Amino acid sequence: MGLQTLAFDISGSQVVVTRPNSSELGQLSLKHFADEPFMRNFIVSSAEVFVLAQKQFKSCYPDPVPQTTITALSQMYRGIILELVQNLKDVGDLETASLYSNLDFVWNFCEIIFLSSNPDLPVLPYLIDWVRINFDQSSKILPEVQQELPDLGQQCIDKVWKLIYTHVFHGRTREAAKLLPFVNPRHGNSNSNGTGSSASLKNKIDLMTELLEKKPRYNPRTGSFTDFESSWESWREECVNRLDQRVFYGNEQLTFICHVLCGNDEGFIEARSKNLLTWYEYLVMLINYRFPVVRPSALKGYARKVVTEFGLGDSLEPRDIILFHAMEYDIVNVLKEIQTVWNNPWYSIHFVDLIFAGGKFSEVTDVRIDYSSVPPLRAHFIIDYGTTIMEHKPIWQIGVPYFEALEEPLRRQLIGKCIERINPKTEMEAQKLVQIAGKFNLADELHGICRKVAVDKLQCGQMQNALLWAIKAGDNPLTTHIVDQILFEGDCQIEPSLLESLRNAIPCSDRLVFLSGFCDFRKLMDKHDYPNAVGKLCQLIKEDMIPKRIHHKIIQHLITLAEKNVKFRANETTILMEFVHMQVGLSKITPEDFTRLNVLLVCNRAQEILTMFNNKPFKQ
Amino acid sequence: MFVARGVTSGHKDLIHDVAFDFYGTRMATCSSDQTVRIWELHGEASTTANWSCTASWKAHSGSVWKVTWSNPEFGQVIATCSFDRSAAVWQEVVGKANVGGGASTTHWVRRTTLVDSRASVTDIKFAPHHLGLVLATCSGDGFVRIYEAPDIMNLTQWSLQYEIKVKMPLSCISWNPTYPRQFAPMIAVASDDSTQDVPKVMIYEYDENLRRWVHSESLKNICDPVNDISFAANLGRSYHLLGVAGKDLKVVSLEPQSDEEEDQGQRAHGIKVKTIAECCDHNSTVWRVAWNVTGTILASSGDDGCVRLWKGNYMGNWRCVTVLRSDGTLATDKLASAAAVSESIPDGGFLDQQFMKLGAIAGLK
Repeated sequence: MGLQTLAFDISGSQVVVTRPNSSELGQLSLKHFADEPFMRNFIVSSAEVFVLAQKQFKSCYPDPVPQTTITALSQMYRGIILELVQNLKDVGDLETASLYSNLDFVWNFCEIIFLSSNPDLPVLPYLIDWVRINFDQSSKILPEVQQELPDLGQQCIDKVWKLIYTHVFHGRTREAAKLLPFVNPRHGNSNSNGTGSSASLKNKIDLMTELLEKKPRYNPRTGSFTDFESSWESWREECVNRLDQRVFYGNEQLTFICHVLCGNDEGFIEARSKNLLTWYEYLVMLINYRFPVVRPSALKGYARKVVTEFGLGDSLEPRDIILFHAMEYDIVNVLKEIQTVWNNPWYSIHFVDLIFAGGKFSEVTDVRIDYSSVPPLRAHFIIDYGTTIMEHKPIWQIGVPYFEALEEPLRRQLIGKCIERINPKTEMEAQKLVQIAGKFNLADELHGICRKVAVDKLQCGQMQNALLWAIKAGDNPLTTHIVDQILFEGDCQIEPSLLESLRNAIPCSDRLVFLSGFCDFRKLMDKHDYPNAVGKLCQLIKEDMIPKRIHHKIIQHLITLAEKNVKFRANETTILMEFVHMQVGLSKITPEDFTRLNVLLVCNRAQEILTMFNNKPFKQ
Repeated sequence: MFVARGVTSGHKDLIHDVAFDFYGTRMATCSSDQTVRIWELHGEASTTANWSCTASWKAHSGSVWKVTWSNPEFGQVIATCSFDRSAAVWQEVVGKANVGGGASTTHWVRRTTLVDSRASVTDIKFAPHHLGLVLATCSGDGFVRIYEAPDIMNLTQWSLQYEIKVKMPLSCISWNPTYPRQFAPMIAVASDDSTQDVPKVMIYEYDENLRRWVHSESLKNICDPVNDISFAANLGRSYHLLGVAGKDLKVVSLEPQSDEEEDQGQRAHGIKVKTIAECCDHNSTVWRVAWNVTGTILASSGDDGCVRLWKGNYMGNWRCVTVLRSDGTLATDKLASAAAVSESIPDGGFLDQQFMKLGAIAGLK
């Protein structure tokens, strides 16, 4: 020893460290994610959904929570993320907005794979929705179009065509069909190619509209996929016929669209070359027009081909890595990658909890997910996230419902460990801690918390309050200590409300019982109810509860009684005499007081004897 | 990711230990200048908070090596240990409020001095509070001493309950903070002795039947000098986790083998020991280790001037998640670069969308 060591300590998000070769300290405050803009709200809202999910789980148990409910919960979480994205955009933080936007993108895809789709049925409808949500430009372009109506300039028409293409790529052919009329310039418009062409164009548009509107749609909840498959085949045949019949000849755009609908290479290559597609949209286009009944587990093969075609194969972005793990149903690696991008267990805990609640993978056999990994994953992330939340003092209470979602004994242990570290600043906070400790049967922690508050109050000189908390803690030594202080150093005044509590509380200390009795005695004295006061005092003496240090006060009271010429009953005199002579003794009272008391007691006794003698019938 | 600030400590010599109280709002430091200083946090414990020194006193007649806080239910109590072969317990006492109505003053009072050691006392730690007000010290004379204050209202009375002879100069000690009634009380103690091929970390457990501390295990694969050890809170695991700071950072799991057989009243105690992580990221001597409250994060400091935070995944693999330099600069953190996900979604990536508001889903509430 004697070398400079780098000593440090850590508490929540604070680290304090000694600096090498110096007597300075470094204070490092890690930024807690709850302090970031809009995060407080984000955390609270997610906790509400989490609690809802637990309620659903409990009420459905032992059955799994229905898929529709799980999907709805997942969409609630996504709603929260998107609200955050919007808030960030509103204040101009586009970089962070982008991060969360990507997270939503990924969550949405994972929702499809793990939660909402059925592994045995076509995944296409979900994919269509996914690309629609993330790549639909309608809300940007349509208002511009609106503005230019009824005469659209060529630039605008080009934009409309692009939008139509996108809708077609996405498989949203009906939306594409709705936009077709806009690309037909009006009769007599100087931008048109002449009256004749717009009529033939209109004809082509009508034919295309028909094709687009007839594209079969599949509803996984109601439709039969074999029906869908066969109607899709006939529809595609019709598209091919149209193409062979060259009905769109002369119009590049419509011919191109037809190629795409037929799912042939020419169309796809041209689509790529137009640079309007991300690989996600290309994948969906592929599924739409070539493999419409593909199941979720088969996606990865196609995705790999697409990604290679786009030249991204070697350097996949984190976002794409996550999608590929999802397509492999590899939940562990999905969560691991997300954790690398966003070092926060938020996503992991909330998502894996939904998988846990849905529980459907226990029945599925052709999917490689290892369901046995889900419960421990969930527990791990709950502990991780819950600890992070409880370490942030302003929002610690939000951590409790997360730990509550664990099994015993982990639940109690974690809650206990964490609430021990909360320093209650107000009475209300202390009560809240007590309430939580009570709810989870955390007797030790309850004792510790109450004791700690009692000790704090004691240090501040709030005796009465300290006593209340010591009683709540059920702590004998502390209670005795506080009562002693009240008795000896204070003026023994106890508030009436506290007195009531004393009476109702289970006495955890003899001293407490004495205090209660002594207060009653004092009350009787104050009311000048001297006979009863004396009775009470004698009771206390008989029960041998009076602490030695308080004897002198008792003597004072006796002297007061003497001055009031109170009459004692026989047995009372005996008790009092014994008390004064034996217990108190000459050392504690002045000789004058001793004599006075003695005289009074002796006189009283004599009086008693005389009265008794006089009243007794004389025996011969 | 973090904000760093310097705190002028006022110590006149090297600071050997710094310890937060249970809540992270007070701090104690101790130094070769033989003094102890108490610090208070002002403002929210966030990036804007400030530490100020509220007490300072000469605690020993030699370098003060360690300082530690008791559980707050015993009041504001700290313990220190020193090169001067003694350990001491201190308590904060409130003076009477000023007549003028100002805040009452507090000062720290020496409650007891423990002078049983024949050599420098190198570490001192309070036991988990469910064991009462109990202290353990370890010293250069190879002894672990366990003291108890039977009357927790009177901190001047401490009695030496147990003395454990370890036969090696000791550098550090750690109580297992584990949840009561599940496991026997357990202590780990270690030595920074450089004798080769001799295990440096020893585990002791309290045997209820024999009413004494019994040596359970020596960690055979740790033979280099150990500077610090720390048990994690054991929540829901069947094994304990011990962080060991020495030439590198190790995380060791200790799994008590409970034996149901009662062989002539003796219960065979075995502990299965496994090194589950060996981290060399510091690339130098590791000085200290500390766990967070739920045992999910391990922090370590090393001669490379860094404090590293480690997190275990659910498979039990530990990796470094944050690196903090004590001089306030952020070491290149591989996470920081990964966080910047480049945007390849075309402009339509974030659109005004109708997102679902809470509570709009029928049938769930």
